Amino acid sequence: MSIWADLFTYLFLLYTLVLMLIYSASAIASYRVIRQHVAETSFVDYRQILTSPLSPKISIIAPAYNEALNIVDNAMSLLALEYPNFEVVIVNDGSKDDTLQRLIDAYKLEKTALMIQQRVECKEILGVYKAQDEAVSHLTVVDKRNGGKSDALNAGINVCSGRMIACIDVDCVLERDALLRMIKPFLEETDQKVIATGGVIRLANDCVVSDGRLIQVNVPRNLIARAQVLEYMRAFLLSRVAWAKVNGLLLISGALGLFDKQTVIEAGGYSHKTVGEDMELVMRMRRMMEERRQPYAVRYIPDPLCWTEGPSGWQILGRQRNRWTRGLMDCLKFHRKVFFNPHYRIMGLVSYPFWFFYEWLAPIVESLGLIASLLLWILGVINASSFWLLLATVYSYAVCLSCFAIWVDQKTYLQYRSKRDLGRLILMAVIEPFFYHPFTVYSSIRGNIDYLRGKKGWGSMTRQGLSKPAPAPPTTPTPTN
Amino acid sequence: MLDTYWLDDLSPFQLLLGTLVVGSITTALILVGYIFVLMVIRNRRKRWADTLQARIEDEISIWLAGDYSTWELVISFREELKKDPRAGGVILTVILATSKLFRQEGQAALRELLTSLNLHRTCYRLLKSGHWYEQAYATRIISQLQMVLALPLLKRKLTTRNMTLRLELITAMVSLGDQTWLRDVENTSFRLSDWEQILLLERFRRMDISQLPPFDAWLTSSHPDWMLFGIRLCRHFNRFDKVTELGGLLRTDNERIQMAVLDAFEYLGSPETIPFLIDYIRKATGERLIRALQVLGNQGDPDVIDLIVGYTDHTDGTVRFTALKALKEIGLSRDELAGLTTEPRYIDHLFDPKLS
Repeated sequence: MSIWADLFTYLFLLYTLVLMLIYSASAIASYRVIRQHVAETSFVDYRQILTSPLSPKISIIAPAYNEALNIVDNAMSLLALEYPNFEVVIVNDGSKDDTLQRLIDAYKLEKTALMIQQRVECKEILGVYKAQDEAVSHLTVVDKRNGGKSDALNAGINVCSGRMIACIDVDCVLERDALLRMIKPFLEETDQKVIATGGVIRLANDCVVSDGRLIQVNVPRNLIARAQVLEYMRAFLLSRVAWAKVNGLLLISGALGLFDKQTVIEAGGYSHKTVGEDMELVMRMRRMMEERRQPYAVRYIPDPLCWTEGPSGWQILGRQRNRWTRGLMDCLKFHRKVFFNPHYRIMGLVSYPFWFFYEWLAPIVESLGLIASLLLWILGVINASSFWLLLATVYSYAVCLSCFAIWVDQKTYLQYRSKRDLGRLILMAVIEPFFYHPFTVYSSIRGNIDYLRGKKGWGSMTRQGLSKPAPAPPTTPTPTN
Repeated sequence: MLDTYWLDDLSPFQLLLGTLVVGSITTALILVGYIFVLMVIRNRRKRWADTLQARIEDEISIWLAGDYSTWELVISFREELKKDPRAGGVILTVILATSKLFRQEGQAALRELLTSLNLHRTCYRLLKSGHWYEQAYATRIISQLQMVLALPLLKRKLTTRNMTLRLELITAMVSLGDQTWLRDVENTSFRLSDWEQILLLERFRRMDISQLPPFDAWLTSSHPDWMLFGIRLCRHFNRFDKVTELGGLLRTDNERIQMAVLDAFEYLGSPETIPFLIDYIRKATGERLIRALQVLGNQGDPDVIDLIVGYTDHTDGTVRFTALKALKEIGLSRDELAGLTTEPRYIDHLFDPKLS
């Protein structure tokens, strides 16, 4: 029994140490990349691109389902983005509310005779609407039968006319110059084709948003949302940047991604078979490029470009993580051919195995490790001090990594400036492993079980809406002579 | 003694974990401390720089108005530099910002001020041995203040691997009016990306330069990137006199070059481009054929109607549609176009005012 206990302990230790090593290496590499990027950015006046006729046309595709409440404001925010040549394609995915009618009324849209080429699979398009008003001539609204997010994105791809497509969540708040920044990697690469670029997503809960623009960044008051702020900082600032550096990025968040349209079409567009359509598309595009032996890259912009509202309740968070896990399992299953396959180079030998062992398997290993440790402890074959030491190692490393993420943000983008916000984040780094992390592990396990049971679909995701600025205090009339 | 005894009791496994715990906690504490110290230092430094910058701006304004002699200003700034050498950075920033408001004479005065403060040496030093971003900053100052003496230094840096620095160097050299470096840049092993080309074109356009770089030479360059840049320069600066050379480039095998020439032809809109387009369209396929049809249609020459009509029954739907669109641009009516196609949806699309 004792041999088994030792074996288990050493395996668990090895797994933990390798994970810590990968995290540390990627955190340090990310910091170096971000620092270089920030220095470069200080020399670039992105507005110079605004007058250039050489900028490729970008089509922003935003699927909308039952978004009547905010759709007009969201569309206005997208139309106000800074870029010389772009269109906004909002796809009404068979909403049950009056999403379409609100858009028609607000922008005086009329049905057009637009010729649609069915380049990727999607459900029937019922109509394409455009405005006669020149000021919003770059808005197109597509009405189609309900088919889910990936189907709506495919419909947008069929309708749009840009060379590049930006797939976004309609309720996200984009930085005004997000497109200008995201187009850069596509234009600066000479020896390989950039097929996709992702941007950093940040939590907008409790931030002040006005006219579709983020005007004040705050740390959320809600503890669940605050824990996600830290989680997003770790994921986006310390991990994805490094993966992109070695061209090993497999996931570009569905909230914001810019793609080469031709490559997306050639790869077959978004898949209807998974709830992890964002990751699945990137993996399929990469596979296609690898199989064709074409040099390519998937890039990543470390600038905070997109602000989104994260779940602030356990139930919604649980559903989200459950869906993420099922999506990941789909992607790993669909592309299992890639696993340790040298033909797919870094994708097959590094990225896929990492996602397999340390993204999908990690919550399972963690749960099994905890259960087994408790069992072995009860049976009296585990060294209590070693067990506590291992837990302390994992915990202290998690805190250290969170602190590093906060430090990187302070050294580069400085999103959280007040002492109070920083104090809250640091405190969250200390307490988050006790209440937030176990829940995400639990949700992930639930996701695995649901996947095996054959559960499909997104589950409902209600949002509270982003904060509006407080109304200005009544001004005292100034006395006049 | 006690420590040794205590450590002896630990297995290597426990020792490793203990080290990791201590290491992580120590690192976390250092980082937290650093975050708050960073915040205090940053705030203090910002306050100091803002105050100093405001004072320097005021003094420069007084000096430019003639109420302060250069000598007085230099003495005042030297005092600042003596108090804190970091003031040099603030002075450079203010001089750079102020110089953007002036043309040659004002810039010469500011250049003189920079030299009197010995800050030009700081620029040269940064350019020689600083980090790439310091070199780029120094290059920007040299370019803005027209410090021609720095040209040899700039030339030496042209082989840099850093794209941002290379952009600053090329901009500076064009701004300083030195054209002899052209071949040096072209012959570096580095490619000229679309990003660099866009930025350079926009910078050239905004520059108050009497003579553009000799892009005629680039049109015959052996490097496709530079040839592409030459074509784009022709387009940007309305070089109608280059139509013949550009037309010749349609015969190259490089598709990017061909597409760039078509873009240039569309923008220039000169009737002289039409023979080249007619010649090209007969051999072009796919995307290039579609683009050539668009360009030809936009020229609006009725002599090409027969040629374009030939494409209205092409096997590719996009080509058929583009040909009809080109004919519409030339001036054919709805009925005339309807007689050329069996697909009424094409006509509906073309004549929908919301889609035009």
